[in-house]
Amino acid sequence: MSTTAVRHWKRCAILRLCLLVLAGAFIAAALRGEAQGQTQGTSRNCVSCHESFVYRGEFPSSVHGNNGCSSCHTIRNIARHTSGEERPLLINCGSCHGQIAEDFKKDAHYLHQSFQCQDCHRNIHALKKNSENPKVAVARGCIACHSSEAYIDLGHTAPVLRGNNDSATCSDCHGVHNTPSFHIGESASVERARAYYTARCKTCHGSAELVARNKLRPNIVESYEESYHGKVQRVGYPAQVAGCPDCHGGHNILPREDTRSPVHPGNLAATCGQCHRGAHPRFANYEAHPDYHDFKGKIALDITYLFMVGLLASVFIFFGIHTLLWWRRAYWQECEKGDREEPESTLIPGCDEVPHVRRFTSRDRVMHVLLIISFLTLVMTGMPLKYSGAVWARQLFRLLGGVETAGVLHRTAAAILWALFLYTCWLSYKFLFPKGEGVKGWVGRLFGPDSLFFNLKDWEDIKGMFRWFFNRGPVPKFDRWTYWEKFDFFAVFWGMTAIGVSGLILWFPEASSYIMPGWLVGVAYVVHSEEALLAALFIFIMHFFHNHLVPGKFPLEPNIFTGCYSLTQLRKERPSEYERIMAEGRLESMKCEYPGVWTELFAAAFGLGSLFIGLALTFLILWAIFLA
Amino acid sequence: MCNIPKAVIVLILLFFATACVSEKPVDEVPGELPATGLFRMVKAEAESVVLINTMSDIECMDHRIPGSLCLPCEEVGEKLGRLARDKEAPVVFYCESERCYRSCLAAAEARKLGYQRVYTLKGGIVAWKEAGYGTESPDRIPRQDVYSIRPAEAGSWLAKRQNILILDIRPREVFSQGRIRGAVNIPMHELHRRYGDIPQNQRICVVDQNGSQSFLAASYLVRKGFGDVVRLLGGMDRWEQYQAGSKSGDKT
Repeated sequence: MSTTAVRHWKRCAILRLCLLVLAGAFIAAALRGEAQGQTQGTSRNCVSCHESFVYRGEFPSSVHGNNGCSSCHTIRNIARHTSGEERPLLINCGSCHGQIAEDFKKDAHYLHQSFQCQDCHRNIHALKKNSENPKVAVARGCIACHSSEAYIDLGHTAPVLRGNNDSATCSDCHGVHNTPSFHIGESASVERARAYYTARCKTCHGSAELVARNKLRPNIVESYEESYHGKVQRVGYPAQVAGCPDCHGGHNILPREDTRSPVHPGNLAATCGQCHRGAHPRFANYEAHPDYHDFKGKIALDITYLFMVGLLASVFIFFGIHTLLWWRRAYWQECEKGDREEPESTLIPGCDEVPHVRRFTSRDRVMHVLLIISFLTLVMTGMPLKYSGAVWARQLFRLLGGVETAGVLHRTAAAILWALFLYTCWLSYKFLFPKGEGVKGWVGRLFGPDSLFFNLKDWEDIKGMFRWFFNRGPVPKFDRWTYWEKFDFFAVFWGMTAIGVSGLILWFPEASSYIMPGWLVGVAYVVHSEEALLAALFIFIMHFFHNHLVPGKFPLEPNIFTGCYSLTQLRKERPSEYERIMAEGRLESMKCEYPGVWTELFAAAFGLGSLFIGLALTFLILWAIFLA
Repeated sequence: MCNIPKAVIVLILLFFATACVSEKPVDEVPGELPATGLFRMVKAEAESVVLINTMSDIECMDHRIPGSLCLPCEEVGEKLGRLARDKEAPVVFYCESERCYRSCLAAAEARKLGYQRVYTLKGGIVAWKEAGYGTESPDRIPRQDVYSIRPAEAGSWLAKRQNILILDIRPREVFSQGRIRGAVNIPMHELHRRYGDIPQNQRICVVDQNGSQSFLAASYLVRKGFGDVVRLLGGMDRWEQYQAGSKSGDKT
């Protein structure tokens, strides 16, 4: 082959190759284009029959314009469809908008009115992306059916229409595709509605940024949750108390300065009266959003709270140190102690058996059992409310049969405690002014060794105990009542005044606010709550330690249940009393029989059971305070 | 003393037992099927189950459980024999309302007629939908912008004697027991036959028992060419509350 021929062949081959590549690329592009443009092609086919302006003109520029007709309208047989024998299958918007379709299955519009997408999203083929504020668009959609006056002109939507997107439109509270219904049919539930809408309010009003931006009152959610209403709601019983919409209204939510607002001072009595029978303006003065830390509004609330915290701190610091030192010293002594204890038989010359002596009468024992039952019931039914956010609170209320049953138990136990208190007052009166002697010598009886009132010896005993704690002296010689027992006794009096009176105020808030301003109910609430915490922890930690858990008595001192203990114990624990008894020759009259197996068994079971419940409650309370 | 731990346990249990409440057993109504039960029944005995929607034809054709027949409860006595020939076959009635009032009426009628296996759907079609099952719509009525008026607003319209027709779609016997003054009664199950009787030149306010039916009835009337249709929010239940409130002088 000549070189010219070879060059010519080469040129042709390159040309042919280029043509081949171009053809290949064209075919590939065409195939790909067919695949991509199938929907467009189908659309083009569809509009040859469905030729209205909506399909030809508006649809391509609508939000769904990138989809072809067949994205939504499925036709099994095109020939049968074009001949009019087959209609397209039903449209399923959920094939693309899956989550919305799933949510919509729970929507009230679907469940109760069988709404479908197109009932709200009308004219779907010409649907354009809305340039309008979505919040305004939602409101506009809803008011087409739901009358607008209360929904739009008043309340939250009005600021939305003025351009404040922090305010709520319909869907912010009612959802947009998952609108719940709480007022239709048999499953209508005020309880669920209250919980749901209160939670909705909290999402915005609990946001610090939103609140600051709109100059709303801060801590409005936290302060509601501090109130009785908020706590009962939080612990899972919204049916019993007011949620946000109960006081502030459902749609016409207006600031309290507006005379149309249900929380306007002029309307408050009527608003509270929806639940509180006999509500009156003085009662309505109650602070429903108490903030104990802001020193604004009712400063008495803040002062009371500070005072109570101070009281708790001082009691627990003093007795905490006292208990720790005692514990250290007692165990130290346990270790040092050898067999130095005197043999018991030397107690009473010529007598082999150690007699039992009476410490508590049957009346005292019954009173203490009642006191334990009522006190434990009060703590068990009250603390879940105080710590309504704690994980155990809900469970404990459920175990107690719900918040209503717990309320009944709490009040019943309170009535028992009141009865015990009043009876103790009567006994104290009889002790001071006994029959026959009258007023004569009452000061002596008040400060005497058999009295539960503090006297100078207690001060000496406290100093003596601290000396003993630091190994600088012997245990003081106690008489019938030690200073910590007197403190226990006085705690009841002092606690009853604080807890009892505040409890009565809270029990009958409508009636009590006739005698005092309604905001004092809030003060009573703080006193009741904090004093209860003081009482519970003091009893469950200090009282338990002083009387039961201290080495030598651990795990239980049963004499409050059996009424008697041995003379050895009396001489060891209360030497002054022992000496007085022996000097006055009263031993015979104080002797008592061994209480018997059944009494001991009861003492052990009831005493240990109460100890266990008390310690368990302490654990729960400390858990709520420190770990929540 | 080895009894002590046991005694403690017993005591603690007793302490708590006082507060424990036993759960009430759920009352089961004989012949009442839950939605899942109906679904299983239809699946197992698809051929023989006769499923009857006891609402009006308008509602039944708008949305019903697939495969249902439309038979308003008012017409069960008259027409059931033609729809369910086998008296041994299961017949399930359902309605819209969760109270299943209409399906219960129909079921009682069917039992009277001698049907052996008569059931109602617990919670009606709402429960069916809540259970996640679908519906079919042979003749769906597009929902319209039907404005809901509150009883107070309706009251003020009536007081001003505005040109408004109160169309009460409740059953005849319920209507005869009490109505809004001047109301006209066309029961919902007759509306598709009698809408032609309604004058065109008036605003129509559709009133039902509790607001659950009036929206669809109003949308139906709009589809039939009526221009100005509204509905009474909450139906007669809410109207009566309003009336009671205004009598006692408390309009809040």
